[in-house]
Amino acid sequence: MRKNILVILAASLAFFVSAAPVRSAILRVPETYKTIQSAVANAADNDLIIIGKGSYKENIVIKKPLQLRSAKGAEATVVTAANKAEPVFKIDGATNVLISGFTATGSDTAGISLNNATFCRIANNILTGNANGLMSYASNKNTISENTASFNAQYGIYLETSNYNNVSYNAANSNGDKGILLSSSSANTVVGNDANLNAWNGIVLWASHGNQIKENKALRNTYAIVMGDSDDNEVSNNSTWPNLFVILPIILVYLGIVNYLVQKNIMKLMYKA
Amino acid sequence: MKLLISILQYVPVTLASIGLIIATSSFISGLQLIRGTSITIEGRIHRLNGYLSIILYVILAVLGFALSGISLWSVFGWFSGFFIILTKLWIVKKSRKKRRAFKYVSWFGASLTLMWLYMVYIHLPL
Repeated sequence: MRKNILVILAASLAFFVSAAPVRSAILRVPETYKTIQSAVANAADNDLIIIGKGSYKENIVIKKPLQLRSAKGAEATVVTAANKAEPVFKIDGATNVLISGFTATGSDTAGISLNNATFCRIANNILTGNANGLMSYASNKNTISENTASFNAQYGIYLETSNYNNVSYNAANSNGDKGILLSSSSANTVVGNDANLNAWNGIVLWASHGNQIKENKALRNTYAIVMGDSDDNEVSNNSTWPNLFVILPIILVYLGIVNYLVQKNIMKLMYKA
Repeated sequence: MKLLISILQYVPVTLASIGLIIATSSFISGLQLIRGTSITIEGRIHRLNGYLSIILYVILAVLGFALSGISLWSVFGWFSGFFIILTKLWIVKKSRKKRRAFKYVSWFGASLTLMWLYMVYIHLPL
């Protein structure tokens, strides 16, 4: 009897141990690891890497599920490309990667590059001074949200053959070519983004089908939203030319005429007196 | 500091709006001057509004450089505008001696009004 109880207890213990969630380790840069890449190399799957404030000169390649977070936010954590020909951050064939709270700059490729990545989350980063802010190639079901991808030489956010991604509440302003470009990418959701002041187009869909383009702002670009060879896209509630741009100048010119008449009558009264 | 900058970003659009109002008044009074009706009053209105708009232009240029920094295009843009203003003033001075110069004045006046329209447009917050 006693033996049976012990067996049951041992079996229950084994069950609970196996069912308990795997606790991820926390790795710290620069306290424990001098570089972000060395922390990535030494991390196990699903570990959390916290990067302290400062400037880092690296090209980081991530090939396993990891979380990379900055301790003090994007403005205080700047990562510059050591090798300009490579992206600052590259997710290569990995799933469930988080990159949050970094400034990525100085790459002739991209600030953050997703290559065959799935279920990744890129959030709250500043991607500036690169050829492209964020580049996604053959990557599906990722979330790209609340990033600032501005002042890049070509595109702010560039999706190539990438499907089912969520691109939301990003700022892709003042880029040298386009704000957001979807090329051969389908079933993506592009919602609530700002794509203003880009040299060429705000948002472009090229050979992309079944995307949702909603509630974005595309102001003061050469062209606001451009679609070519693209079908079945839902484009709604985007702001491309707000009424204020038309109404305000008309009101001001009208006020100018009124101002002239008022001034004229005041002058007449003054000189009569 | 951030709050101050965010408030200051709305000041240029207000100044540009006042500038457009004044430039429109100046343009109408300038057209009346060419037609030659009540030259004294129209001339005073035109001069008052004209100089006020130049002051506003200079303030906007200084604010623009302070808030957005100095770049080649911004310097080129502001100096081009200033060149139009100075050319218009020069033609007005010339036209006192040569009546023929009047026909260019209205074109430059219209250019100045369009310039202020553009200034309102570029300063509208996004």
